[in-house]
Amino acid sequence: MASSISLARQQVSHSWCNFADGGASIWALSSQHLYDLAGAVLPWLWKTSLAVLGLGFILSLVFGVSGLSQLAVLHIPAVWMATALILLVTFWSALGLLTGGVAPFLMAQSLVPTGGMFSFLAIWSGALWNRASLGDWWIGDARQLAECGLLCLFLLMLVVPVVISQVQRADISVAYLGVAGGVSVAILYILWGLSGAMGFVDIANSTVDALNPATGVITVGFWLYGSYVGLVRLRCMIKEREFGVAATFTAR
Amino acid sequence: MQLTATAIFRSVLKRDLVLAYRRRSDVMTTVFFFVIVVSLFPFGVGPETNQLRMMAPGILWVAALLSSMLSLGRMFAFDYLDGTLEQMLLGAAPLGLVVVAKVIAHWLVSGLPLVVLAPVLGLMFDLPGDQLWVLSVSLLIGTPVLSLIGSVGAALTLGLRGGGVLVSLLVLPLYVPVLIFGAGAVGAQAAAIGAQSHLLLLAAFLTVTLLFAPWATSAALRISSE
Repeated sequence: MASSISLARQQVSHSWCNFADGGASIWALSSQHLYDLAGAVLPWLWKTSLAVLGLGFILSLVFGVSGLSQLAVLHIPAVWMATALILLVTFWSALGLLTGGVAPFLMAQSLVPTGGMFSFLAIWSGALWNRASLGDWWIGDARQLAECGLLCLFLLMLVVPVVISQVQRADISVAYLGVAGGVSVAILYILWGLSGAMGFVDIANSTVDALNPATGVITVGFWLYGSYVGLVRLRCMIKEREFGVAATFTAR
Repeated sequence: MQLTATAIFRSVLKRDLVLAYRRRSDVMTTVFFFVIVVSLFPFGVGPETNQLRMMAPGILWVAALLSSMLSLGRMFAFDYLDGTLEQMLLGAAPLGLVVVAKVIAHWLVSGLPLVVLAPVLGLMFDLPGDQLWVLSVSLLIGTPVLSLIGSVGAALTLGLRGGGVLVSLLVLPLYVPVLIFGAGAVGAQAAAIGAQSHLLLLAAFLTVTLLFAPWATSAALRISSE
């Protein structure tokens, strides 16, 4: 059922390096391939992510700590996910800018809303955890600033394709934002991390250690969930671009 | 006239400077904006000297950033509107060279005045001499980076409605590292750590953007003009 839609024409290349088939041959990343690949993986993904997240929830109850510090089990994976997603977006954007073809841009744009959600989760869970363990919502350390920066970057990447009406230019603008923004965030993270200002060290070390199994499992669960949602979004974007918005309302 | 690289560069540079001179008021508005924004801050935060001295590098750098962003629309919009850009795209001159010349003309007209004015305005914040010097040098290295990064954003948003705000959306996240290291250089000088590492990083930014931005801008110009 996943392959029942045949995508009639190849995407037009609009890249800095022009490959004759729009870069599709390099990574077998034509829209048709991506659609089918995503469709094959999806059922396995959502079942596994639900199972892992459930296991993580149970583990967090088992290894739980009292009070709002329990939120560390949500906050730490959320920060990791937001960081990982911005780096992934940067990777796909760079790939798209270098090879041409639309597929890497689609991959990047499908991850952006999930990244925004995780950075939002990181911000408020971090604020609540700060309040519980250090007594104040906003400490202004590098970690909180980085979380806000990530959220702003994801929001910008969401807004830009809406404002720019031409699809080609919107793709390239988001990719430009993704590459340069992601590189800046990575540089800042590394610099702040090297200078010891990341703030993880300060907050209640014993709390974090005790929750470690739950945190690890929930990170895996978030990763699976993020992949699932990203791939569903990817398939919707492919269908929308080929057949218009109405096609996205039909059954998968 | 021969079609050598220097001839192309010089003629595009001269043309852009002459056109900017003819629209002097446009150019001066960005400089006035910089001066006014910087002058507003002492009124806003109060006259306490220590506070002003600590905030000065950040204020001056953010104001320079904002006025750079304001003037970005001017880089390609006029040429796009009267068809000159199309001629440049179709012509024999390599587009990267033309773009470099336009960016340098843009920097001479909107970035260099900021470099000259910043020490004068820094006096208003009671910055000591060595910090004023570091501020000027950081702006001297940093403002061309802002022009180069902004040129890619200006080329991508050419002819779209939404105008200046759209360029700002694209270009602001990319300005943030330059801002951090530029303002940080003065801060490091104030903390007696020495501004060398920050200034060297800024110079690295300049080198990298000088290498990649004209290439990216010319590709974006081709796409935007389709």
